[in-house]
Amino acid sequence: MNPGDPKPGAVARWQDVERLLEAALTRRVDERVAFLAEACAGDELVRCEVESLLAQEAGASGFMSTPAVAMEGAMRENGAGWFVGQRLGSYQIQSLLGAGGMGEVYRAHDSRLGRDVAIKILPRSFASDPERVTRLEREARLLASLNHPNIGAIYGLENIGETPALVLELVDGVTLSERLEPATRAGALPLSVSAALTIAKQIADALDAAHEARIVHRDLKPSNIKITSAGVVKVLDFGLAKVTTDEASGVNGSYAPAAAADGTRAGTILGTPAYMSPEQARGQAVDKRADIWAFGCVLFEMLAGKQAYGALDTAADAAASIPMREPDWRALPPNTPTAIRTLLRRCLHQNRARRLADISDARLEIDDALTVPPLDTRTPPAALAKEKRPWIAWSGWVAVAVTLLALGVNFMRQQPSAVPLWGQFEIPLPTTARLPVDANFSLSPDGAWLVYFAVGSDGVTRLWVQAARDALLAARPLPGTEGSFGTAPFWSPDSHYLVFQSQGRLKKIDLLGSPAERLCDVSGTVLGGSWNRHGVIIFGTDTSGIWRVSAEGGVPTALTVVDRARGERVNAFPTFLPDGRHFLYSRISSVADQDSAVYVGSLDTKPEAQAVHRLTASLFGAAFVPAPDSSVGELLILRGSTLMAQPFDTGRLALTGEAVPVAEQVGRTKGTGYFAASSDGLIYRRAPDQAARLTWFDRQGHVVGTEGEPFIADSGPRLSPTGERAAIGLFADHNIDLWISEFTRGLSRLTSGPGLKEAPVWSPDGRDIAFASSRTGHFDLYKKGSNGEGVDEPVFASDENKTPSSWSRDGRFLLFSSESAKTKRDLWILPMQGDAKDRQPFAFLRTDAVETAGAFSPDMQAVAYASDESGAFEIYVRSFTPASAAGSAPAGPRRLVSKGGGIRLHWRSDGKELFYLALDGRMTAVDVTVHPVLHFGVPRVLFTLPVNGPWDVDAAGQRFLLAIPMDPGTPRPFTVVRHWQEQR
Amino acid sequence: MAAPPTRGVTVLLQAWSDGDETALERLLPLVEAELRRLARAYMRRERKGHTLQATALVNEVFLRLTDARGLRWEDRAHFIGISARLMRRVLVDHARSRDYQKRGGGALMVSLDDARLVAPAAALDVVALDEALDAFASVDARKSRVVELRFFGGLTVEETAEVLHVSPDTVKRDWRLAKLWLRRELQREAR
Repeated sequence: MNPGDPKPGAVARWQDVERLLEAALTRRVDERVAFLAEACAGDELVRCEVESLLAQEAGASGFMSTPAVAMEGAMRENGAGWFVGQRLGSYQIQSLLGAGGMGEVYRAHDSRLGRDVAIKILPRSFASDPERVTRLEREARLLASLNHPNIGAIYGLENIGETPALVLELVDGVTLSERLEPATRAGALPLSVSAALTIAKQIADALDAAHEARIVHRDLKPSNIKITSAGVVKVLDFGLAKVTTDEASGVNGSYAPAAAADGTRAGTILGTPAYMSPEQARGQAVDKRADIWAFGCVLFEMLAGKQAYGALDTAADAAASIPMREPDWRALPPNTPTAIRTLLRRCLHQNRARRLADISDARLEIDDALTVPPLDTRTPPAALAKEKRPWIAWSGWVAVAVTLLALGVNFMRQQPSAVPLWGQFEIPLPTTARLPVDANFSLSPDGAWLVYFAVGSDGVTRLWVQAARDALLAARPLPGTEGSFGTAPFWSPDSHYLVFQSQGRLKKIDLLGSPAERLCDVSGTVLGGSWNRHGVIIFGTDTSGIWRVSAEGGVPTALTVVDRARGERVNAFPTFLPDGRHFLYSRISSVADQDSAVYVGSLDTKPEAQAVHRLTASLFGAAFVPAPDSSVGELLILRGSTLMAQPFDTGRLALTGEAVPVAEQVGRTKGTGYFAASSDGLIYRRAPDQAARLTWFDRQGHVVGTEGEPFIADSGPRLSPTGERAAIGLFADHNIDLWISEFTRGLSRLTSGPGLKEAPVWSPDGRDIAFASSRTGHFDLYKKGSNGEGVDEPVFASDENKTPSSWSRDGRFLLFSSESAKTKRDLWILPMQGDAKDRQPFAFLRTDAVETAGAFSPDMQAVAYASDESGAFEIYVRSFTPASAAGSAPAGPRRLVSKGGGIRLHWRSDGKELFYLALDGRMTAVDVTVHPVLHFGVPRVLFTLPVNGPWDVDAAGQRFLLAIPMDPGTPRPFTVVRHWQEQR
Repeated sequence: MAAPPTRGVTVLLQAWSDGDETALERLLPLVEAELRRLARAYMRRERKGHTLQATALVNEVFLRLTDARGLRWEDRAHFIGISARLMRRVLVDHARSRDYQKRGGGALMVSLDDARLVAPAAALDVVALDEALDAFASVDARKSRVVELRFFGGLTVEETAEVLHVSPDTVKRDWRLAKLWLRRELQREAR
């Protein structure tokens, strides 16, 4: 029956029942049946009811005889849960989480720090037992020496009343035993092989950290292992753990046999029989190999769905029975990799001298098995389908394999047909949420968590958190982050808090889940941010530069000023450097890609003076990954879609080495790349299929043809003078090189070797191509035969980055832009004929504004270019006089050609029309007449380019050529590269 | 510790006795907080062989919270009546938190393998009794109230009679029948 929900008539019937019951109770027991038979007069329901109540009479005397308060008090005398509801110091004890002989663990709220914690207190009966107290304190010290994402952390050791209490990280989730139990009971396999290995790997990571700190857990078992809802494994309960003494540590990793010092009673065997190594069961001294045994037991159980040695009640059982038994190896699923079977046998070797000696060896085996997954029959085929890897991955694979062989790692035993994915796996996007196209993600500083904005099935945008080291664990939304938006949230340095934007406010939220707190109001959209160890938060916005605010909240103050006069659109994506004073950030130009750059800022510099320390050109920001033992970390920058890593000295605040590619086909959004990295993992999302195809458009914007096979473009096509070929930049061998598309006849390679290559410019006879290459650390000018023969011939080198843009029709002059700290980007002209000594460049136009994209008119009487001198980029034309080229003022007065802004221009080959791209991507044409005077018509919009990329126009000005991406859309999963720094 | 709000409780109690139902809403939290605090102290002090006097507890709360000089004698009955209900809530909460652990629910932090050290099963499932009592209240409100006052409030037969304005014999009879009904209900539930 449903309490509190009486059937109609129940009360009236109860009055009958009560009356009869009272009457029956006054009678002797043997008279009652007859009395009721008569009194109920055929109402069987009432009779049954009264009889069932009378039947309670015999046992009722003791029932409720002890008042509840006394009963509860008596239970508490023996039981746990004593402290529930109490306030101990700043901790409000909320509920009992668990209890055992080693202590009671409560969930509590720390009102001082506003977070939930777990508190471990000795059972009252042991509170005054000095041995127990010592053991608890020892556990605290052990835990304090272990700082690892897979080990439940300690926050403090506090005296509460008269007893010590451990304040611990609250780990919500299920224990591994709870996870395994339902399937195990049903006789099913509880986990897929890859899921089991993913969990095992994290356990091994935790043990490795403990063993490194000379700590043996001694009680590893599924009920001491928790898996959070986000999928992170945490090894808990170091209550039995033991630290080695210095004397013993040198001896083959074994520990002092005298157990008294560690608080363990002599002669007492501690641990859990089913997971206890033979030596532990016999009461012998144990070392880390006991943990390796237990690890083997746990791994076996995860894979096989049954305990390796069955249920053992006592240590004596274990000591007696284990030597006689073997685990049931046939219980392992058939798709268990051979290497893992071997690993299990080595972990579960009776003789510890022959047992696996070091848990890190287990990690390596598991890593291997995970990255070359076996055919998993219980994984849907879709999850197994391997992405078709570009050939680039193959070359990377070979390089990695060679490195490993050089290190003596036996690595080639894997099937040669396996997909080359060493150290790399994919984390799928959540199936129940949609990532907005412009949403990026960020990685916690400890490398454990991914976070991003996503729209759940309820249509609400929240932050979603996902384990970064585990592909199998589902992402989960973070409550309290409803209505958040922006590019990506960012992290506190301890990885505990997230900062995000919601409803015009910057907020922080505890990852463990207390309500979000407001930090400050913001206008516009927050574009990236960073939080240093000193509690300073900096963030960028799309309206007003970089701001600074306290991590405790407050009124933000400006750190940078957006220099709109220089064409800057935003200052954004700040990242603190390790000193916590300097930070990297992007100054993003609204028009010229090459003007967007990463700068070094400082908390100690005035906003107006920040734009001094330009580090490197970058359109998509940069990420810095510090090195643990060095001031030289790695700067990650996206070039095109290649992610490059370059050493960065945080002492000198300078780039020190050469940039090398670490990932290809990396996607990007709104000024940031889809990448993040920590010292142990690099995570990126590939762009929607990067393959592009050269596509012709007519003047109305209709596609009128395509050329050749798709390729991964970096820089767009530059048509040869005859229009039969095009030079393009594309990715090859981890680099960006120039290739020649012969259209239907395919691609041929133009350049190779170190340095990025860009900006191809054809000589008027089509025989040579001038280009820029960064092989010296900055972009210098080179030329090479367009048939690919010969070497790259340097034509001009200087300390500035230079970009060639036009070769005069008579072949005598090359127009290029050159960066200058003082006058920004200027137009220069390099003579291309005559003796080398005569070929000194001269400035064509050098003003305080940016001048770029210069193009000689076909008759060489004028130069068209883009400049931001008015505040926005516009197209201008100035006359050019070759005769006076070397003179003091080669450029004549300027003429404004565009209307409402323009960039990226080309002349028609007869010089009668000039094309440029308006700032919104509209292809615009301007008529040019030379006689009687030079005259420019009114700009006419032809069509809007589908993508904003480099383009060219044919000689007749009728067809426009662009590289158009094949696939505009499918969202890509996260690609994780473990230990990426070692893979190069 | 801050002094208990004696003045406020007295006024609220009087107002409630005079028929102001909103006074009760404000009164309950004040009394409950004090009850919880004292109940814990009582239970902690309790040792085997001692029987805990819930009435003493309620009395102490009453004395701490009210300014006895300003109260009519029937206000005390009212107070004890609501205190018993609050005690029920306090005790059921405690039992619930303990049972929660017993059933292994929620976020289990430490191993329960050596649960031998944990208390043996309770003689009576207080949480189940609380639920059965709710059901019983819809069948027979007064008998349910008698149980609440006696079992949770720890009141004697005479005190219960005083609070409910009935004779002690009625309380005894109600108590006897209620026990049968509730015990049967608990057994049903256990099956």
